[in-house]
Amino acid sequence: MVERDSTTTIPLWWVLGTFHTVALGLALLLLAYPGGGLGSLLSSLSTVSGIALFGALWATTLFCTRQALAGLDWLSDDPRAMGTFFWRVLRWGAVNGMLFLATLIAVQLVTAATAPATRATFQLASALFVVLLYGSFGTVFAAAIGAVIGVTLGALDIVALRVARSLTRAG
Amino acid sequence: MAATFGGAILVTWLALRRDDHLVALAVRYEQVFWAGVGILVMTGVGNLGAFGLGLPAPSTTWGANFTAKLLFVAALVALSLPRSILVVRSAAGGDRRPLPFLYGATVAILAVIVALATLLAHG
Repeated sequence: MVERDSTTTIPLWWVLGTFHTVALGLALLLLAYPGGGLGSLLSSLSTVSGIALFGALWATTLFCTRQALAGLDWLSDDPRAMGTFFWRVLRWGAVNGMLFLATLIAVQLVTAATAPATRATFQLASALFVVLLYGSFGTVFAAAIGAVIGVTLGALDIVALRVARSLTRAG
Repeated sequence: MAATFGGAILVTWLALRRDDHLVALAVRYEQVFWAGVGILVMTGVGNLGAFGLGLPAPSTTWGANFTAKLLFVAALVALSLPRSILVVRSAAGGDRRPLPFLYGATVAILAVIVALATLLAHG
């Protein structure tokens, strides 16, 4: 692995994990804004919960990217390492989808339980129902979406690696 | 933004001078850059949340500038991943010749983003 010392090199999981989070956030913004749906989507989100959700996505993505890269010589661009990388981003992408869904539900429940407008009507039984419903069906969808996004972003990582290699060859 | 833009200018200057400290500083810059970009997008999402339904339509001047800013940020991120990989490889003894071009392009894109952010904030 290249990650020897944080003062002489860059942790690859930090670069790729942040790239994945930012690329996903930008893709969602670029898809939602031109259609005019971004305003209504954001109206249900306060400034603090928006930052908290993005921060949670960032944290879970960094964790999953670190797991996907563990013990792998990703910079070698060796076909076997790349094959292993694709399986890992599929698996850890799915895990990331489930972790983010869990965070999303937790943020929604905490907001509903503490916000002045909804605090009075908040019921533990309905919160439990939401957790069970999203926890069962939602997890399957979140894992599938997370796996697809993970593989797509993993492919972009490999494109970037090949661009970097071609720049040094051409340079 | 100050760290990402100012740092990029400093690293470009060192890259053009072929300074011996280039790779060491570039490694530090890349560590800070990704934190900066993550924080910028995170606070950007938070600021958009404050707009809510009052977010101007894409057909307005503000909307066109906002779309352009998103596209330039996407271009910056797309350029920065190969650049960071090159810095990692340079730190391990790899070729550093493409770095002046990549850091120069980073400065140019960041300058456009700063200009668009100013336009969005003041009109």
